[in-house]
Amino acid sequence: MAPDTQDDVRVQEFVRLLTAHQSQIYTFILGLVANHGDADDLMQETSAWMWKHFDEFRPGTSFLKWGMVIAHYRTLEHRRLKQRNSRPVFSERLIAQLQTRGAEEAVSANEYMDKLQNCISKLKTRDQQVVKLRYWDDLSVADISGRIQKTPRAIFYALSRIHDQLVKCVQQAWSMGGNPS
Amino acid sequence: MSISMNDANKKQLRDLVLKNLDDSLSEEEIIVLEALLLDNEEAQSYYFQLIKVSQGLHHIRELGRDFSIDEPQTTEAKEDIWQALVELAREEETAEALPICQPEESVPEPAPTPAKTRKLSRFWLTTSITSMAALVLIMIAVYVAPPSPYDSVAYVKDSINARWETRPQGLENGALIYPGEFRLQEGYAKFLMDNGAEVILEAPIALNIRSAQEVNLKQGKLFAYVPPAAHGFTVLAHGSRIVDLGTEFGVETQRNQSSSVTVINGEVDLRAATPGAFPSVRVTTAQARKVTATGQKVQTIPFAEHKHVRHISSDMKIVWRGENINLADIVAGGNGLGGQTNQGINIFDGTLGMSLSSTKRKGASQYVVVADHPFVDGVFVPDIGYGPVIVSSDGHVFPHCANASGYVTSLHIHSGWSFPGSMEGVGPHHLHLQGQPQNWSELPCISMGSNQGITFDLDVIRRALPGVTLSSFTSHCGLSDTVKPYRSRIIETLGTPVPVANLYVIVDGQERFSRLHMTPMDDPASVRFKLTEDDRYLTLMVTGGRDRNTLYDWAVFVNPTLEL
Repeated sequence: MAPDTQDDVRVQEFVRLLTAHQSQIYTFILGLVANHGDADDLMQETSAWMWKHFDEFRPGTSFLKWGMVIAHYRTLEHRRLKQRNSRPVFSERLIAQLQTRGAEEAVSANEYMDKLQNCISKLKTRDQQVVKLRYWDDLSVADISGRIQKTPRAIFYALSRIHDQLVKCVQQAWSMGGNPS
Repeated sequence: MSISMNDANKKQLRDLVLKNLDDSLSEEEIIVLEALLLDNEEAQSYYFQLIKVSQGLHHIRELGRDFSIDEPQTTEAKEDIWQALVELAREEETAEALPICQPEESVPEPAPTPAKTRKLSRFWLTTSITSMAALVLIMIAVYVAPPSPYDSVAYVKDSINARWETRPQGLENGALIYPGEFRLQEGYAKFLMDNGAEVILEAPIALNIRSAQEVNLKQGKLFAYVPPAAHGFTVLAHGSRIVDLGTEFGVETQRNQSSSVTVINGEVDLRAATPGAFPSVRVTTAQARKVTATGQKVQTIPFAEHKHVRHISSDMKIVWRGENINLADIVAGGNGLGGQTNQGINIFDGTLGMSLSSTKRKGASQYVVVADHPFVDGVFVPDIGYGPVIVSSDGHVFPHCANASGYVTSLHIHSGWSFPGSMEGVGPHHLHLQGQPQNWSELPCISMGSNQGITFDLDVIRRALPGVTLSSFTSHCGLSDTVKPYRSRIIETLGTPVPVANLYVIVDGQERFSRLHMTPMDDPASVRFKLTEDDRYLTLMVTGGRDRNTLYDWAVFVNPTLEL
């Protein structure tokens, strides 16, 4: 098989780095815009931008930090566009604070997933079913409530409580340096 | 003052975040969410934990991970699960929390040892010296290491024909900007600073970017748009410090080392670079000041609204200094800011070009979208034989096209002068209103014959100039009286001594102006009306008058302007 060209090597390196950090960059973006639809668009823009300017990335420096800086700039532009379309947005002052906080809160994706998965297994069965319906089966709150003939509000409150439980469980696991027993 | 994060506030924060992740909050709800988060480290930390949980739940599925739950195998088991969910919905407010393990018992702290006299040991000395050396090495390494992405203070948002002295390879759009010297020899560039401020550079310019919050303008002109988050953004300019207080402002430094500031909107503090040289001056909207070369004196100078480039767009090829938008320039293929003319748009296929002759033709019975120019939505030949006339690509209709026969004698709508052509036996010439020639170089105009219509897309124009409001449309219009020498021919052809036409200005299918049965003998009409953010399609239209003829209907809209 012919050896990889320099371009192939470059592509492989970019894909490797992006795959390793995409979840963290996405979470960072999500923290700035608090909306999956906007975060999806921004992640796509940020990835494209990073690929286009990959020559400027200095090997050995933090790919994650570089991605977060670019994501921050894309978010500022996105915010201006939303404002022009009269859609409500966070203030630039809050975005600046969230950018700092988001960078501090970035953690290893795999380690976080392990802890989160373990915490999900600790939920009561019916709470696990709600999580499964919402995130695995991709049903909306309205769909779930329609099936069990209860108000969306009740399902929403359940999801809210479950999220709080998972936050506390993961934080506990993190502070203990392992998984909760 | 930040809000304390008790359980109620956490729940409120959580509910707002979850709602916004998959839906959109209202403006009021965004305000509440922002109030919970702003300046509140505890709330922000909890917020990011929620974000990570939500994103983690999505991500686990994408990775194909699963958690072990006992999937119901039988119909009864499935029914039991649904029943459990119903109970959950009923009881959700009383559900128990997850059991959280108690932290391990803390190790008792060792008893404090009594203070001892310490002798300097050789080992301690060696260790200290080695540590200091390591520290120095680290400091050197940090000093000479290439800047990390977090050291950047801005990035290049856009540029037009930019040529940089200090960067021969150029600074392309998206390049990160680090503190340092910059000399732009040609063209224009726009930097988006880390704090959200936008700075537009106009060549030739030399400046030193010290940080996202401060630049030193050594020579040339720059313009800054500073949003609230970036208040305090400062431009040093020889003898002065210009501190932003929430503005759009321009600064210029001359070769003789005098400097000036022009405030388009908002206010700045103009301070002496040398403390005490002159008292601080507040400069506000539509004001300008100059600091002398000695840096000792401040003078009031005339406010020049169009002195600075305030917006650039490489996509739209726009360099905007605050001018109004002229539709005649757009018809000629320009961007509304120039003086292009002697071009037009073909009424049948929407292409750019111009007519050198004319012939009577039946127009297409449909609205023609103009692909050659983003600011022009389309053109059309009004014909009431087909019912209400479509006047936009979104299907707006205008039902009141008096005497629109669907026939035209000119193939183009022109910018500048008209070419009536051989049909009427008249050569090309400047049109006149009330005996006055409409010189296209001084008064750009759009000339149209009967049964021609053109629609401009105001939304595209707005997007080309972000942050700018189109406040009104103005023009004056009429029929050219250059027909006078041809009165006998007109009587022979039309049966009347003068041609007659109807002129309209329409917005989103609604009439905003009309002059019916206008003749070249009538005074020109003035058009002026306000525009709102919701107005999208602006249409100019001319139809045949009572004479039901298109010949000699040489209509002109003079200086058709979108005021900003």
